[in-house]
Amino acid sequence: MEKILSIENLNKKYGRIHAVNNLNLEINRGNVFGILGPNGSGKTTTLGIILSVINADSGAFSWFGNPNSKEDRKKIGSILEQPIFYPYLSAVKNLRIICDIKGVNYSEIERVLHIVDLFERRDSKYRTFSYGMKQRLAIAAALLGKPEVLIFDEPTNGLDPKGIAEIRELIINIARQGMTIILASHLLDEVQKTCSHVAVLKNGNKLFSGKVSDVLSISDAVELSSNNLELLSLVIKEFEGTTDVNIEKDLIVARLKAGTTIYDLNYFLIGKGIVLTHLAERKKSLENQFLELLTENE
Amino acid sequence: MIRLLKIELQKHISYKAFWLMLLFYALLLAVMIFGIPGLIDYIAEKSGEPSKFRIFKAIVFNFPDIWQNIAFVASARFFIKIVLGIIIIIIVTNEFHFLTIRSNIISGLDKKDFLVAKIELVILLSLFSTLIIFLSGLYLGFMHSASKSVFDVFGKMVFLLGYFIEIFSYLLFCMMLGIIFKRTGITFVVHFVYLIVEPILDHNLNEKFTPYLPLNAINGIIKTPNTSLIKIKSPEFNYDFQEFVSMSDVGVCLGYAALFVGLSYLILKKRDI
Ligand SMILES: Nc1ncnc2c1ncn2[C@@H]1O[C@H](COP(=O)(O)OP(=O)(O)O)[C@@H](O)[C@H]1O
Ligand SMILES: [Mg+2]
Repeated sequence: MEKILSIENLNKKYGRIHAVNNLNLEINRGNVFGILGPNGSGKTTTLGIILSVINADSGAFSWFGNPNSKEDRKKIGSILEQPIFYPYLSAVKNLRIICDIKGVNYSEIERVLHIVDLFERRDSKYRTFSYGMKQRLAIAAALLGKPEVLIFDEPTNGLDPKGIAEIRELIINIARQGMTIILASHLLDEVQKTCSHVAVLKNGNKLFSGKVSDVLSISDAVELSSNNLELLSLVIKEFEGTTDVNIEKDLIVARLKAGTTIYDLNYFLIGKGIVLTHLAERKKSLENQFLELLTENE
Repeated sequence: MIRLLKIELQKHISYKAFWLMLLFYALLLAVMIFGIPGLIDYIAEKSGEPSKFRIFKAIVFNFPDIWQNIAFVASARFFIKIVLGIIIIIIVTNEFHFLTIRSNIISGLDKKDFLVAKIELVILLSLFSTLIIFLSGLYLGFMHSASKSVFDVFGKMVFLLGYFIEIFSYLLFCMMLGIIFKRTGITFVVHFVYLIVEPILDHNLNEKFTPYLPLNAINGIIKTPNTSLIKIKSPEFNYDFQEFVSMSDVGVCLGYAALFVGLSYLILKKRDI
């Protein structure tokens, strides 16, 4: 897998606050990588460092395997914390400046404005935009020149539910095209819905990182019940797709091996002539795990 | 280089405040330069000694001395060049206020590029200002000067170069203040306070050191011309007029310009944006 970003032993202190604490991270091409952590956990500081606007105290990072350079930044589209534009310039004129900095053709502007649905407002001054429009313009700016990596820092912050839904859909669509995305968020839901990988940050420390699907599959369990619980517990032990079967009161709780689905289990039981009165997936949500991770490390 | 200047100009070309201030500056300069002849005529009439003032006028606008006279007035530190300084301060502090320096860097400029672009803008404004002085000098000279020979017209044009270097250094000073203080209001206050503080220092320090105070240094290339009213009124008045551009003055001024740029760069580099 091609490494897009690697971060080694990164540190940043603000006085006594250790905003980023010995952070190590690797992000590969095609990842939709979530950086998840409560407010103040060091997400923005980390992104600021890898985008060269904040100086780290120690440690190193490299984009595309190269030493830090502005040329690599031109291949990254990013939103850091909030949309930033010249308020007295129109959307188009703001984007032109970014095109000139990145060395991107102006013809890109029309394309990205259509993507975020701001083409009609292209000549309005940025200052006249609503917050949602500003955020969409920031996404448009990030998309200029088809960058290899996109960085979104809290992209739905401050938006109304409709705006949040729109932006998430936009990100999911972009991710589908195979682009590498780094998404920082304090919202689990957002990471869960959009990301393939996740690192959980707290007080500048990385608590955990891995595939979102791994995190979810570890704790998948199925609840079953039928009129004859004893029979059910005997039969289910013959099924090869379970790892662990427990009886809890009038429920049987089975864990499924990776690759086994509830469909397989149910199909097997029907074949054995067992009719279930209850079948439910007990998904330990990322949210619970997230909260657990945070409290375990308290 | 050209790319950075283009980026820089894109930021201001549709910025109304920028054009208004520039227009205001040009008008002020023009009114001042073109107002002087009228003012002299007016004083002459009131004074009852019009002939003396007619001589004065001829001296002031005579090629080649006109270049030193006009550059001297236009570069006076408490005068119209402050308008240009304010433009630079607003432009620099805006980048911090709107956080746009951050987006510039994230998009692919580095801090050096950011600074170079600002210096290029400073050069452009200095050229603009020098051009106005040049054109008005030509006009006034051809209207009033006794001699219009090529030799005299171009004789002391080196003062225009001196003027350019002075205004360039002053605008770099303003740029540096903007980078240090980031906020428009605070930078204005510091700028004006220092404008008042330095003459007080000047007054209290040994004369050996005073030419090296920053504002003295960046106002030190064009010395008081030998056409002051004092001189006319009292020929015995003893003052050592310097009617040429001295390389050591230029050196000190450019030394400060380099210092302003160097400090700006160090501060930008060390600071989180
Ligand atoms: N410029 C700054 N000065 C002082 N403290 C800061 C500064 N920027 C961030 N911090 C602190 O560093 C910690 C991490 O902040 P940040 O990276 O913004 O977190 P997040 O983006 O995860 O919400 C917080 O405790 C914050 O208060
Ligand atoms: Mg943040």
